[in-house]
Amino acid sequence: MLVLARHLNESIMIGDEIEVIVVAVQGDQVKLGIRAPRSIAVHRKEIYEEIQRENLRAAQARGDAAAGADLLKKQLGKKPGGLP
Amino acid sequence: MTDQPATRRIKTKGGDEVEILESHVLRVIDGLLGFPDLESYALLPHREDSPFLWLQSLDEPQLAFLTINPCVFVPEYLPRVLAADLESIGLTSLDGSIVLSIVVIPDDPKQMTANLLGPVVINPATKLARQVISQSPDHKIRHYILGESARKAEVR
Repeated sequence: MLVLARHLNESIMIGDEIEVIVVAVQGDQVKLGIRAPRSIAVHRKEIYEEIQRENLRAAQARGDAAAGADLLKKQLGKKPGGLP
Repeated sequence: MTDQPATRRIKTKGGDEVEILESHVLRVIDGLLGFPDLESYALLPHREDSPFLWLQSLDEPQLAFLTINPCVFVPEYLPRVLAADLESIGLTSLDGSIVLSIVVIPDDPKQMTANLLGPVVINPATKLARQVISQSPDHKIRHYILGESARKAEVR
């Protein structure tokens, strides 16, 4: 891992198109500004990882989809929609 | 001269083979989170009167995700999607898009949840899709589909 020390308002270039700027420092919180091409998604890491784990959980789940559908129908009290 | 639409036979998670229209094949850009190399999917109905849809991987027959339109149980659901995410699938807004949440049904199906924080947005015009992260702090990764009283109901 590359470790660089930056002061307030200094920045880091990742490749030619991604810039990470230290926008503010407040106590132990650092505000980062990110300039990146619109095609590149930028998200907080822990959220990204949580969704990855949840997707994996979904892929492995063995719950009864038919039972789930019946329970939801009951809650809705009417015929649910199918394919849009 | 007949002009049959192109179809293909695919294997599904349940072990069945089904025929789908080529025009219904979706490309999930960058894949679903955790499955970055798998971009080819098809949406299949779960069953005739069910609100669920299977997002079936065409690369891995054993991989399929149960999904649902979250508006079925949260009518006002509107994910806050970054413009960059929309653009990557050819949209300028959510108008005309299909938004689906990946569902997890655990052993006790009453506790089933839907991921409202990371919905899959589909552009039916381009057949491109992306799993995005909603910028709204209210959206949970495990949103209970059923209400509290239904979840606590005793199994008889």
